[in-house]
Amino acid sequence: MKDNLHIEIERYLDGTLTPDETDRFLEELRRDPEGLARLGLILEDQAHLFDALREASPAPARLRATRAFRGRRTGSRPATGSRGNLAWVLGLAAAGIFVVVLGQAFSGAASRARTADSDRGMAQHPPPAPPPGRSEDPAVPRDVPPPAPSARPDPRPEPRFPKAVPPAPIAPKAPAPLAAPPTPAPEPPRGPAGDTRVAMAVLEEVKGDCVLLEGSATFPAKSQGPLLSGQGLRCGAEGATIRFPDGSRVELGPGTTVREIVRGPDGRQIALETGTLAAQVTRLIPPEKFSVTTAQARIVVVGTRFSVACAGESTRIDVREGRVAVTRLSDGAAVEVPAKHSAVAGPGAPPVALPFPVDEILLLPAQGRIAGPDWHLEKDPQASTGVALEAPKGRSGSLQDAPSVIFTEVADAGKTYSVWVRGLCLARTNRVAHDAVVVDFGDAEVTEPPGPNKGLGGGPSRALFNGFMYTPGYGWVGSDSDQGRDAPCVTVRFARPGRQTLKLYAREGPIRIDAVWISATQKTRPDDSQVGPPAVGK
Amino acid sequence: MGMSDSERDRRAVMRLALEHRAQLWGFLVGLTKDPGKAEDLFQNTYLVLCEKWDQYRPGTNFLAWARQIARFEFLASVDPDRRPFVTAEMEVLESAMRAADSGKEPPSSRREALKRCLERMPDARARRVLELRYGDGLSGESVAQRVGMTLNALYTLLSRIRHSLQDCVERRLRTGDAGQ
Repeated sequence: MKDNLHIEIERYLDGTLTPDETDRFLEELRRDPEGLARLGLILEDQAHLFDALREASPAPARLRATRAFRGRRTGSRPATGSRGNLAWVLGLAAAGIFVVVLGQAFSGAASRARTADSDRGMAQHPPPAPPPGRSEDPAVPRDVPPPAPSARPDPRPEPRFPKAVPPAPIAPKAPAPLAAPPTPAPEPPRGPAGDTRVAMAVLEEVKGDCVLLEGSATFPAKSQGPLLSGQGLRCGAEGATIRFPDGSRVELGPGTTVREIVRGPDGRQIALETGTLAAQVTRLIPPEKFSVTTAQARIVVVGTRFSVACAGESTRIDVREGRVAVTRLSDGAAVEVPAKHSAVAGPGAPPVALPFPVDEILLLPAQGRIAGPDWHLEKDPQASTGVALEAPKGRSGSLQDAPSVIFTEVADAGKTYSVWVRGLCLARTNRVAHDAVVVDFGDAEVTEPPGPNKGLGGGPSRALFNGFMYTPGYGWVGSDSDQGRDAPCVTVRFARPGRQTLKLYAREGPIRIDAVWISATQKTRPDDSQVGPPAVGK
Repeated sequence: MGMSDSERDRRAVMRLALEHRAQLWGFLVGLTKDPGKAEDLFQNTYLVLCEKWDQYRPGTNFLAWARQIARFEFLASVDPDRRPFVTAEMEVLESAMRAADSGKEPPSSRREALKRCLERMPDARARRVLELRYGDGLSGESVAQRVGMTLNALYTLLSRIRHSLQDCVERRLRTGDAGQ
């Protein structure tokens, strides 16, 4: 028995092991017969210690103990002395009798209720044919009637106790705690005979034909079934979701095979053979780890949201939150992948953390920093976020130092983005002269479609968005709608990757702006009812 | 009027249940980490034993039978979502109880021996720790605060105390000195 197991036993008994530590502790214990026996003795001795010391403890201390342990009947124990303990024991016996007698007194109703409970699970105590053992009490007469052979309990036991039994000095238990859940507890699938292993996780949802793997054997995988340490999972045309005790979740995509999930010295380890895996890992307390291993890479996580795709000769890791460490197994080349970055481990160049491709950018009013008096935020139930940027008046001439709304956002370099602005013309008359804004894209190549108003933005990094008057409510404008609402839109290519600064100017007002959508995919004018890409930022 | 055979048998089974209370309750404390809750579950278990006493076959392992009932009581008290997690833990604890139980003296002897060892415990601080932990029912953290130790030091001390108590109990049981 290892030295540290003694301390782990104390922590276990005190309830201070985390769920993962408990898993590990139980695994270790399972392999250590000496440790198992010691824990068994400790558990038994604890009961004696509680009895002996609570019996000897003065009354105030017992009260504290009652509160601390939420024991319902502790206070009913006799105050002192071994006679007191005996009385408690007899009281306990009487309590049992009392509850049963009540059941009989009410025409067997309670008894039936309890039996019904039993049938729902709790007392489907299989009347086990107890294994032969040495605990036979010599006080049990030899001519005790044989137990019922059936595996089901007698649904309505015959009255066995005289009704005149006096109530016990302890409160009878209400039936409620005896109520049982409708289904009996699931048993984990067994491995080799006699094997006792820790359930690593629960199969939260199994879709289609998934099977549990164990060596060369397979078992049907069922939703809400346990996943034991050392087992794997193979998904068919659909996937499965695995939930760990700490709330971490792993989603397996269609066609994915996880060879095994085990608890090793470095924490939970998932061996992904092929397919895709998306994980949301609850933040772990170091040195606890969560790792995924493929043929090419080992990915170690400390609380994050990430996905792994393993196919052919490479493994791709996308990290949405947190940070993971990726090590290429062939040569040990390692890289840390921060949030919103990806890395690929495969043949060739060592893995490098690269930012996620940015295809969609949606700038909303609340994200902007208002500089100067031209713009202000205005509540507007028609706006997609309930608030809009409003410019009561426009500004002519050079916009170089004009008041603006400043946005910062991350974008890719060299990618052609289409730009769409969602706005509302507030003018009631001569609307055609009150519906334009200009956007400055900073260090970028901006392309405006041809037209009479091209270049009115005032510089090569700017573009005019004109023609919000054509819709009574909010509508999308891609360039100069005076040339037709579906005229080609402004496009932009940023010179450098990463953070970009954009400025919004009021050319004509009064006007409200609801959103600026910069998209690598939306090439045509969005429907006016659409408020942006469906999954920006996800 | 004399007691019927059946009533005598029932009482005998009940006596067995109380005789093995420490093992059953200890098993439940291990599962719940909460002596109060374990006590409730033991009471439920006892009630079921009261009802099903005639299903016990004399000459077989009473404790195994009773533990199985305690096991069902515990499972019934657990949120269904958590059951797959506790099932394996339950099996490990059952193995632990079985391992401790094999070839052992009657529980009452052990109880008495432990009591005597406790009474003669020379280390006042160790005695104080046990009183706080088991007499007052304080958590490890509270005990550690009371006696001015770190939690790890307390766990180490508790482990040593258990060792020395177990040695003492074994010695007394070997020499037939359990209740002296």
